[in-house]
Amino acid sequence: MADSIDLASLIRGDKAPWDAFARRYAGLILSAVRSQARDGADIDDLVQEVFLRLCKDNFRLLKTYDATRAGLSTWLTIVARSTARDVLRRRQPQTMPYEAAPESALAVSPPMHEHVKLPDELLSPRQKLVLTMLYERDMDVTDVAKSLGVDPQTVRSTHHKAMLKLRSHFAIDDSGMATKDNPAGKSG
Amino acid sequence: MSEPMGDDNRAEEAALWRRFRALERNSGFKARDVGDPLTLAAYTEGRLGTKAAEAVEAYLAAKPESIGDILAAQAAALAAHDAPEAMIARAADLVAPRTSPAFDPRVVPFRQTPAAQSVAWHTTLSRLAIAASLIATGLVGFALGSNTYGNILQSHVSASADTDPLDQPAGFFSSEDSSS
Repeated sequence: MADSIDLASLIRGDKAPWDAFARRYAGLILSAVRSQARDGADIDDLVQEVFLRLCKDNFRLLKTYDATRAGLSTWLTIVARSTARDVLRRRQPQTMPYEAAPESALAVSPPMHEHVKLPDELLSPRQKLVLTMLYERDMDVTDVAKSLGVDPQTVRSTHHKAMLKLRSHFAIDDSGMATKDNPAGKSG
Repeated sequence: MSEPMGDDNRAEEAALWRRFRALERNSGFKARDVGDPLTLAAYTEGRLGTKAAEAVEAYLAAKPESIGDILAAQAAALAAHDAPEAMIARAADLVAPRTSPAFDPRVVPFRQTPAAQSVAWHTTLSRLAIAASLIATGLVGFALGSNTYGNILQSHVSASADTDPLDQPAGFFSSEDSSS
């Protein structure tokens, strides 16, 4: 039994538990996919797609859920968002007008002249995650701390240590960036 | 070394991070794929051990779009959710009620409709009807023809007419030929 829904009966194909499941979790799935949908019609379709994925092939996906490992609501939210992402990616046209392309997609990466090899485990997974959240998702320290279940001070400390490692590795000083291979920071 | 996360350093630190990322990409680094929903859900709820959690964090750092899933799952636990009745009904309709104890949701049997079974009968019956009507028409036609011929023959004999009304002239020059 998970969140008072009889999953065993549900995945056997009983109608009543499925109805109860739909009633109970439609709202959760709706809010999970809402942020990813473009319009109202999309939302309805995405919610239906999530339910369809849960029950198709004899409830194959639902059978992978293990109540001893995670709560059903948490699992469903992740399944719903992942499904919505897949559906929208499939629907997305292969081409888009130049103006519609996000700036990041148009950015030209600078040519990599440096051949500095990254040592294994230069940054720990936690340090990488913190920096990703801060610099790629533009989250603030408080939100990062909340999502990781730690103190904001811990996040600052993690960030600080990560930056020390990066600075040390790339041998950066206040005058600008320079690599170990090119200490003066000159090109060529 | 300035204070981390200060405004002055943010741009420089972001550039440093981007540089690390670019180098990591160039080195062909790939995080282990631990992105199955159950593992991510367990991570969200803090149920993983240190090693497993590290693997998930490496995966999340490599796939930042999945971070949103974790954040959404955390927020979902705190909020109440409602859905329109139509949406609930549509989802509920995806599973049909069981019709018999032997119902297997994997198999959707095609119903043996009476119409499908009687198709062969209909075809045979219609062919038989056509054949019968042809035979009946032939028999009736033959009977009528025989009857008519009998009647004419009878009247021909009784009237002792010079010419048989059914006897066609022999030809255009037949009288001349015979006279000559």
